[in-house]
Amino acid sequence: LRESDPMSPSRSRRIMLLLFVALTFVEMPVVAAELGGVTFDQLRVLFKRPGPEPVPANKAEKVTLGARLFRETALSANQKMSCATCHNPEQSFVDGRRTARGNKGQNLPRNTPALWNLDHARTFYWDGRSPTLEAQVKDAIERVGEMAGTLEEGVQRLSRDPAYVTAFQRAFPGSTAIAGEHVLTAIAVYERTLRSPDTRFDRWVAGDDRALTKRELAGLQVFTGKGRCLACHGGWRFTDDGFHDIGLRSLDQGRAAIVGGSGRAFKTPSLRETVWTAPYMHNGSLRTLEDVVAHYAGRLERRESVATELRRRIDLSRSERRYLVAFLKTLSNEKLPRE
Amino acid sequence: MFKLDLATGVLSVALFASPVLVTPALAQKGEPATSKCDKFKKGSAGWKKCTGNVKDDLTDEQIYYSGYWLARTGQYAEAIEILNKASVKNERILTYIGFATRKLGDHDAAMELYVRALAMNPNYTVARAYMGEAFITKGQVALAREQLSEIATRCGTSCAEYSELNQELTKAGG
Repeated sequence: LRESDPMSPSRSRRIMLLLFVALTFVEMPVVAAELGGVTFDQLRVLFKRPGPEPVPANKAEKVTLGARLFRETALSANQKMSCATCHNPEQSFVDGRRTARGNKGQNLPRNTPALWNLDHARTFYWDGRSPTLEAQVKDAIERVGEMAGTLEEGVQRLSRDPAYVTAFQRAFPGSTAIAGEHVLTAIAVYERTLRSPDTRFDRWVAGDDRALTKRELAGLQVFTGKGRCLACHGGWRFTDDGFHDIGLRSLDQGRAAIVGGSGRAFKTPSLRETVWTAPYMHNGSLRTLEDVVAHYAGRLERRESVATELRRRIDLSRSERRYLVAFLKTLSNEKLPRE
Repeated sequence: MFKLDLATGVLSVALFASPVLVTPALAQKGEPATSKCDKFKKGSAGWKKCTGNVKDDLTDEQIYYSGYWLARTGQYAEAIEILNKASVKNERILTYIGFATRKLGDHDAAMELYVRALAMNPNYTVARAYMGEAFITKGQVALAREQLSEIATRCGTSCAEYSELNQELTKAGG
């Protein structure tokens, strides 16, 4: 082999050396300057998942029944829609649309939220108008534009099916007829079982230093520091369950329409499994995680009601944005998560 | 982002050359500084990581958020410990040390911290809301109402601090 041969060992060694130097001094200093092992050690505790929840009586029967009711079109006025129509279990419990489609095929005003980890949520819907999951289920069944039915009519339809009557008796021993309240309970109990599976990030939280790459760890640094994401997206679910105006160009009043006042605040969404739940934000206006980061890092509208943490500009370099997105992806499973 | 600081560069090479991902500082956690750190300039990023200096590893922003989330999740002693490592004790840091202190039962110490936070920034309504809650616990509902009224003046009745303190006052029958 000649010295000039592109495949010669000496040339390959030079190329490798150049690549090594380039990667070391272009990418690594960003990481190395910001990595702090003890810092990371202390951060782990912030994201630790809780232990198993208490199991309600007859849970298995309720969950089985709830899973069936979740997919039951008899609960809607046109008998064509179910919870699963928008919260598609084959699509990480969302529909992939910018905003949800209503019972007449119309576009509804808001994006379909994912259903992971709702057993720990405090309010439901983007504006938090339902204080419990049971109330949310009833709202969705009866809201004009959504399933647009009534719980009573739904119960009547279900009562005509002997298999349902038996399933309800098993799930709710002592009850002789199907009760609307039990429909809501069964669906809510089922939904509370939808816990997002562990990801590489959870392995890192548990102490596996190899679970995340250097780039992802650098993203975690941005997430917990200058990106200010941790202000709202904290805890193992990556949400404070609060309501914040994040400066989106939207006229939707959000929380203010429920509790009064002004501003355009919406509930902080969890960041678990977000890879599977695009597009993002209450109006589905941001297509990708890169768009979300770009929004916070300069594109948001700094109006009076915008969240305190967003009043100061967040300046992120291109590398930092890439690292942040790389980190965000570690909160999702690499394969589509299923119930 | 093209930092060619010698100490950082040396550390970077070590990171890159490592066959597995092990954060050097993590691997050294708890170890005392040794002569091996002498090759780094004292106070440089490499030196800080080599000696595993906790305080210097954390930015104040990270300290605040970490303390905030520890306090939110009931880990009050841990929250106080980490918040005390902030290089600048601003109103946010003082307020959350106060919050965690109050949750651990020391209402008077917490109140002092809220007062200090508000002396720095009277518009920091989070401190006013927590101060109001402390007044409620001490049975001083009228003083809690004063704070509610201050919050209304400074950030309106639709801000989170107002609704949270108002809720606490309603629960207390005030």
